[in-house]
Amino acid sequence: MQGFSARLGGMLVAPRATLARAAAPGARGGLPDLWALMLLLVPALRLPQLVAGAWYAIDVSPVGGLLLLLNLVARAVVLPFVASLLGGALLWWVGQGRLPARYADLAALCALPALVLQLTVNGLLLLAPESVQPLARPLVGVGGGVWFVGLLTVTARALRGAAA
Amino acid sequence: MSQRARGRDALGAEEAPWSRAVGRVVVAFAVALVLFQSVGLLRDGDRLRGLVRGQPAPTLRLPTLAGPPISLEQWRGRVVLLEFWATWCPPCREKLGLLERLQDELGAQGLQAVTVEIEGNRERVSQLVGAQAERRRRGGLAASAVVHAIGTDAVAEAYRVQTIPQLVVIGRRGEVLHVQVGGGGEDELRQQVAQALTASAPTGGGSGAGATR
Repeated sequence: MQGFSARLGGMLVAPRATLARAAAPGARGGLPDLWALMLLLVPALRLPQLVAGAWYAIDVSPVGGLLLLLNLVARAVVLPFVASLLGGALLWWVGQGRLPARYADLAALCALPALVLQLTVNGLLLLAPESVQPLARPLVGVGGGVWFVGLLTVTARALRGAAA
Repeated sequence: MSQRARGRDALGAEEAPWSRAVGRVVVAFAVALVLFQSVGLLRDGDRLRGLVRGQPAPTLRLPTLAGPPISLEQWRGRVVLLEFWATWCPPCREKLGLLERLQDELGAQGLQAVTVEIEGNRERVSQLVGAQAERRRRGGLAASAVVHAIGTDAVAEAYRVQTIPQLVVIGRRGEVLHVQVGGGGEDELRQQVAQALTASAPTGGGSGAGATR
């Protein structure tokens, strides 16, 4: 079985092979990989905001600080998670519903490259002038979305072929 | 030899031997970013800490919409309720209404509400404030005594504004008593303002006005 690193790298360099392994009976990975990557991504890109929220919890209001932190995390994780669920629903419909849990996992794997793109570009932007950042962020969003939809399409076609 | 024996998957794609290495590079990059930001925070992280209760409120000298510039010192002896806000922020605009109500209710007891728009958008502030003033006039209310100031980056930084709206209750002696960020929290704010007003009335010899949780 592949580990998180192997599945993550596999979705970048050999997505079809990685998705095929993930679709096999008894395979692991998918949604847990998505959560693991987001656990890395949030502190990697939002550490100052996390620290500010923690200070607020300590100095002013624990509940207020917790809400700030939850809001910060939610803004990072909601879109990939919802996209995975919707993608999984699409794959379930294409694959005729034989393995619903795996379809959400497959869709989650399709979302990994988009998150890696976000991590890489926004991480490098931390070193770039502030004037560049507002221009780059929408492009990262669009690029990641296209990548996710592309992988979902490949997966859907493979599932449709298998179901036929 | 089957496709699988040749190292190919069911879709006919070959396994990439360096998948694990690429994945580890991604993880290492994320960890490096955390470390990079941590170094910056260790050096300069104090700026992320919000205002601390009991500390003197930072100096505030700002232009206003339609009057002379203001400074915090002119309200020494009164409780000041500051709101840092921006014109594009809906919860901020809701808090403006709350500040007007508090000013109407508690102005006579020594409250002075001041809004500080942090992006220097004088024209938009003027439109919003003007519209609110018109609503008050139609409702038969007198003009609000809330002061609207146009903020600067330096003031926002001095007051550690990270999230808006940020409300700061400043006591009669110029000390920070309470900080609140985000929408909601009207009941708590009212409680904190009431405590600040009663804690050290100007004619009384009360104890210190430090807020307690």
